[in-house]
Amino acid sequence: MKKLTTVLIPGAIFVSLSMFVMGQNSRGPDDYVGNPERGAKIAAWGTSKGVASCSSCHGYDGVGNGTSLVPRLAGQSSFYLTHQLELYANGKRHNVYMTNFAQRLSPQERADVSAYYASLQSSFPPPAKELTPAQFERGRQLATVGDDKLTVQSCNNCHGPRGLGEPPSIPALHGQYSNYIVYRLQQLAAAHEDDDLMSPVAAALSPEDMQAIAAYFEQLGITDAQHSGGQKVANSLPH
Amino acid sequence: MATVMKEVDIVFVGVGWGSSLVAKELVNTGLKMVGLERGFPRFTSPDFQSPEIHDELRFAVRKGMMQDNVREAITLRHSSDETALPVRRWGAFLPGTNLGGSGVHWNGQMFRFQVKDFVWKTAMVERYGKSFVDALGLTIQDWGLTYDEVEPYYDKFEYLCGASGKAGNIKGKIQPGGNPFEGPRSREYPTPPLKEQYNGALFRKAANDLGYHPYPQPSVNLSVAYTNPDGLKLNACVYCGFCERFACEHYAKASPQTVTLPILLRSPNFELRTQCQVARINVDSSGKKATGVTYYDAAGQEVFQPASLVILSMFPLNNVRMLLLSKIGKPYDPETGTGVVGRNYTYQTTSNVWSFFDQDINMNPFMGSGAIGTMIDDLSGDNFDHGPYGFIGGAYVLAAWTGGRPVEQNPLPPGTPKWGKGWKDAVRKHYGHVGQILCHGTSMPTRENYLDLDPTYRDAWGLPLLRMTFDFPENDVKMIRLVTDRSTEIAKAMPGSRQVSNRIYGERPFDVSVYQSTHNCGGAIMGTDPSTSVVNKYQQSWDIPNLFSLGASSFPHNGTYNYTNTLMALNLFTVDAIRNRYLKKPGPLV
Repeated sequence: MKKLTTVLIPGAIFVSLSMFVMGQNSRGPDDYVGNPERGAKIAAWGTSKGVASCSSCHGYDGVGNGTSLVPRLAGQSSFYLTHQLELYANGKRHNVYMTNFAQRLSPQERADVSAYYASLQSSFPPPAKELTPAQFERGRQLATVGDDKLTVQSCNNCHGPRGLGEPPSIPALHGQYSNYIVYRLQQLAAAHEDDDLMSPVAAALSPEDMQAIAAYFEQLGITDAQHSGGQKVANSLPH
Repeated sequence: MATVMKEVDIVFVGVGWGSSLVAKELVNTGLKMVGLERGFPRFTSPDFQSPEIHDELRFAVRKGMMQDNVREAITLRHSSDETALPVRRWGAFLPGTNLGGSGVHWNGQMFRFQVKDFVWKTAMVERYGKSFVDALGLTIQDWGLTYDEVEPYYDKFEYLCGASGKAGNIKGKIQPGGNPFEGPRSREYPTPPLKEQYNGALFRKAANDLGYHPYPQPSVNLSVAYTNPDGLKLNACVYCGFCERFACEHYAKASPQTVTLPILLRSPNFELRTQCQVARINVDSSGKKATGVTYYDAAGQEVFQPASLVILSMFPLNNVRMLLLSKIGKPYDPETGTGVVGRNYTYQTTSNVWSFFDQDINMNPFMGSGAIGTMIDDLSGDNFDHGPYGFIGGAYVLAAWTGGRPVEQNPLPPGTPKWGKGWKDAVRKHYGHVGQILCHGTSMPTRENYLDLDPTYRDAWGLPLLRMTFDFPENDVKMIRLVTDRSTEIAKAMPGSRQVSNRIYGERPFDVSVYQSTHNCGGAIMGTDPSTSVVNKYQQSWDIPNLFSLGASSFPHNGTYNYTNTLMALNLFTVDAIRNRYLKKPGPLV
């Protein structure tokens, strides 16, 4: 039973977008070293400043909930998670719950809770919808080769082999809920965010293509877990 | 017996940047056009995607995208009293091939030439006097058109590509943050400059302290997502560090694949034929009219493509060779100095300067882009007084890392062992802590440097190879030595610089085994006088009015800068003349 890390393509490149994703603050996300033990407490109990426990939505195991559009956090890059909390805190990303929690977390607490979730290896629930072979194939094409007619490059260029991400700044898509990936692509297509790289890509995708990519990456997490005999596997590159 | 195809209005020889732009500009005329490309078709998806494209060994070391010089090489000698030998491993220059040509794997460095470049002889005589210029022994001449005539076409190509930069001179008004020496442009760049590397920031400080005027290099690896006037979208560069010699997987580099081919290949009036090796231009018995071209198709069969108009855009060396093989125009003879085809061959004169820093200075060279960088123009072209020096021309000075690739982007101090433990220790110590400067300068024509056909060596189709007779003129050697000295001073002034070394490539004898530049230039130059030029200012053959030879082969000398923007602007100038005048009344435009 292979560990997932042996699936990596040798020589996979490291593309750091840290210069792009830095907020306006002079201290960036990796200026605070996250402590997973402190983070576990925040995840379980929240904070005295009115932050609810993350686990009440995201689960203590970080598996989240696809139907409710609560993303999987387990095994995601801690740098990426910390940065998303910063974006919620400074208003560049909007969510009625996350904005509030992120603002009430200190920068150190954001780093801590991100480090906790990043350290987890959790199972992959079965998908809510059946994935058709045609969808899988279309998703696989877009993920590995792209589509010249849409001027869309392959997802894997940046999101890494099998969507395992390119830490620290490019998130893993592997095993993420298809609902959530679609939701996020729709957000990126609709507005020019901090992220000028994803907006044009998302805007070029039809709803069907978004579904196909999303379902493909969700399925990869499940498939890889099955191939490892049900053992817990990492869903992102080591970081 | 050759197969004869149905006649078309225009046949393009080579489908790279030049042809694809001109053809795209003519899709609305309804003319039937055929593009003949000797190589393969290729597109961003699927052909340029990662991780396969980020293969330094395949593409950078083994020149995976370059012309196959087993089948079709050139021969080289330094002077006419030597015997030329074939160049079987590309080094100094890397001719491209396949659909899109070098436009796929170029760096996207996007410069305009100087105002004086277009009237170079007149400008040099005016400033330095006739005896100063005559003593240099150069065959410089005016181009036959002015910067002002070309400016709108520079602007057009820059906006088609979404060029990222900061203007230094808008309609005569100097702009802060840009290049104060540049010729006037009609408006700002379409997108802002790329981010500055730490290497560039240190250079900027040193250059400022020494009284120079640093500014960001103009780039068509774009800084932000952009939609061009034709409605084509380009993405923002991700600074992946695999630009030159590689293709862009992100649709972020302006190339035929991103800027011209999407429109061209949609048009029912344009037919692309790949794996077609053009052997000659066919000329009628009067010798004044091209009837079409003959090529060998992928099956090796000979085919004749009749056409009313023949446009060559094969890269300078191949254009000149095609004219010689087709016996069009009088070949240049260096003994007598008469003849024109092959005359005024020029190149690019370059050097590198490296600064070695302590371990705490991290350059992150892998966060690179093809045309990133901080540079100065103070020592370029005629931007300084050459009176005291006895040479003309100059070089830009650019601090940039286009990437941090392990095999070739890993300079070490002089005296470092070339292999073994000593080498490994040096790499461990220095990688990521080195600053790099490039000096990139003018190339002046001489009576002795020229192109012709080799008497001995032939290509895989049995046709004589192009013979290059070239060495750096003394004028250019003096120039690059001076600019390198000044750049070394700047390198030493970079904060934290511990040790500086340099390497001048523009020394005699010319070393074709080490990479310098693929800006081969001239050989089919433009001018006002048919006894000293092959084409007029519209790049139309003086001998055969329905033949155009496009590209840097038209340049009477090479200016300081990477020449793509200039040759493309001239091609747009040509297309306007074809569309508005030639098509209505075919014949000589001058």
